[in-house]
Amino acid sequence: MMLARKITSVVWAGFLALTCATPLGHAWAEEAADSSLGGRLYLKGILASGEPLKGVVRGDVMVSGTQDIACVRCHRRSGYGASEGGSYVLPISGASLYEPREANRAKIFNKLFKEDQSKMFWARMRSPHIRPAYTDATLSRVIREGIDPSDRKLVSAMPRYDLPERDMRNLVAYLKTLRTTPDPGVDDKNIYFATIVTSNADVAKRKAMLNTMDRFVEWINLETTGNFHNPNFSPHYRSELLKSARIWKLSVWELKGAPDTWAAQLAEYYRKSPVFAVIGGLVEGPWEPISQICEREKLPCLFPHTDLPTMNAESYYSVFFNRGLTLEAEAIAQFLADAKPASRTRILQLHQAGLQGIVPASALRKAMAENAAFQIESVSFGDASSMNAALAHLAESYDALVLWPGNSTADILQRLDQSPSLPSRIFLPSGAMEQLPSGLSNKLMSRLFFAYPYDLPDAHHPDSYRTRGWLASQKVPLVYPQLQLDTYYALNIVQYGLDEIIERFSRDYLLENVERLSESAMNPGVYPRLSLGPGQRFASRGAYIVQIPTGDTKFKVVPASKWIIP
Amino acid sequence: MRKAMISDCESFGNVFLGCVVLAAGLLLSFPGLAVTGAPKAEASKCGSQHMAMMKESKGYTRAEKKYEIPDVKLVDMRNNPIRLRQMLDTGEPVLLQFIFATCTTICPVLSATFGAAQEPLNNMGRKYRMVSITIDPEEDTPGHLREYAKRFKSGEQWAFLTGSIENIESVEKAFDVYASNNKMYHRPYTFLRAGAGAPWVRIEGFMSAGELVAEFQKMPDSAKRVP
Repeated sequence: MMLARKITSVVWAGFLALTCATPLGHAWAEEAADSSLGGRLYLKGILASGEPLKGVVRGDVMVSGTQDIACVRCHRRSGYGASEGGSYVLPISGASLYEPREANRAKIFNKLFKEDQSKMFWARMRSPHIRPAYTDATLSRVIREGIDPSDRKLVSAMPRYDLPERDMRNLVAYLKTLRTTPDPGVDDKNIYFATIVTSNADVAKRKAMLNTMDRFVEWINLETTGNFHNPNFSPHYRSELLKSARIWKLSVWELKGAPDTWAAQLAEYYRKSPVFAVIGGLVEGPWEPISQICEREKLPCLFPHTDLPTMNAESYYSVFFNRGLTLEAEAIAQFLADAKPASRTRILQLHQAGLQGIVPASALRKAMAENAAFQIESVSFGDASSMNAALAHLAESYDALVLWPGNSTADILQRLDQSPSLPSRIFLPSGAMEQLPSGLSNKLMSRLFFAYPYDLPDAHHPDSYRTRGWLASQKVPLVYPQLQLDTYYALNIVQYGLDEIIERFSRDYLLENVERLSESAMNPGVYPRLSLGPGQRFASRGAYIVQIPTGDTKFKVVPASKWIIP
Repeated sequence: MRKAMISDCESFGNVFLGCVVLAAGLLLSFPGLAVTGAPKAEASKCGSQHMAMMKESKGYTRAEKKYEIPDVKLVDMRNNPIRLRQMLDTGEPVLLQFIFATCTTICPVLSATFGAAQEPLNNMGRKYRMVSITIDPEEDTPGHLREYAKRFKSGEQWAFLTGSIENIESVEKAFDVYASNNKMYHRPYTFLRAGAGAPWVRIEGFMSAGELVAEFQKMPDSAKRVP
């Protein structure tokens, strides 16, 4: 009897030992969930195994990672989702999922009342999708089967993902890390912004820009303070939104010295006062050193004035009006190519030795590299004597001259005016227009063509009146219209963006809404069209080629081309 | 015809349905009235039965319409100029969608459905043409459309078109899909037409590949009286 019991216990011990070491026992000792692998799945659509994520829509439409259906595509980096294309993409941060969903008008306010969506969307937003909080188990079920904890089906646009167990755990762990704390730059009372100016920027321009910004911030704070003092006065449900209202605080981050010192200066500014976003700005020089802090701190840097924006495709947090001098070079290249010259065209390109010359010159060369009809000779110049040496090239006859003069426009044009041999067409960037010296001969002026990435003077922009009217009412003189109207657009879109995000103070969410709102925000008339979309970073895409008419004319520029989108 | 015995679930369902209809009626009469305390759906067998019933319903709406195709020149993803009328009025059946390359929520699903339907449609042995037109032409250059097309393994019969903003807008307006305020408020549309004289089938929503093929097979051939 004792022996039988002994044998039984040995057998049991052996069985237990075996199961613990085998896959059966492995289930007991689970791998810890890896939220960084979950993040890779969320952001890139790659499973822990390295395979692409695969999903199914409506039973038979396979979608996979190669088609770019990682979670981030619809639910976005913020995890707060979107309302695009008539689809209400739900927030999936840990906090959103692991709390019951209640009917809260304030959270979906703009979707209820402000968006121009279909009747189905309108009804959907008014059908209270109350549900209990998710658990790990019901979250797995919804991802695999599309059925939520209230037994409702998710919409067809959400694929069903048959995730391996390990990936499911990783993803759930990642979702729990999303949006656990509000982003820096906002507290209970205030929201902090900065604008960046370089010390070499024109003093009068800087003053005009900052005047515009200060008046806007003062005006919006006056309205907010008034609302705080009358909390029960609630047109349009304002009282429900009051707790997300904040007083705007704007700092000026001035950058001194050479661009390679800017990153360190910015890091120090940010350390002292981390801001929620950078709005506008006036930068004479490359944005690239500045974009480093925008990327590192995941800080939206919205619509600065610079003609050298970051062209890096990986850059996510900097948003620009257009592609600056690169765009202007490509527009000139396309203008020349569109003329389809009968014979070989020789072009002389003279460019200033700094980035304002090098960047557009190489963009033009690149744009024309494949075009055998054009032969381009590029010469750089620095000081006066090298400028003369460069201009001496004109002795050989060229069909066209392209100039990237930087700040030497006046100098080089005056020398050209003395030159005996001039090509029939001379191309310049838009920035040269405000540096034109007086007294240039009509002979020269009639040969000048400018890349002009702005709308023409007679274009119709209804919102231009609203913007100019507001500036007049605030007694802000419109000294530099393009700069000041652009600055207004940047401020306005942040205001609209904050109205969208309400109390979800996430910089990513602000940026995602800036992407969405850009097209329907007030376009004050500098550019024909401003629009963004998911992942788009340049809101205007084209340029005219224009001339300055001589004599007493109605408009200061006349088009020589249609709107060119290179 | 009502059964003699109504189960608990059915009666609950009727009451629930009544509440929804009442709530919908109130909401439609008073825009801006948000319901704050709706009856909570019970996560029970009643809910699942209700859901099962809903699962059988279509996920999209369908209508038949006539549209005047503007005679505009567009550009395909290989930079070839395309006269839209010529492409759509060939006599072959046409399937058409409006997308844009950076769209995230609905276009990948719409285009994936086209992609998945290619094989069954090809196997039917009938010639057909698929067309995807961008509603963001300034951003969606032919190069961007090529990248987009690659994602969905498009065959030669599937064209991706862009063009000037005026021409694209005129096409959107012709098909009554123009989201004037902002392209982000576009909707998931698919259009089907058997041939030049036939009406367009206008579908809003998402279909499976099987549903798309079924709609393709039952497209009306002739120009019957359409409002």
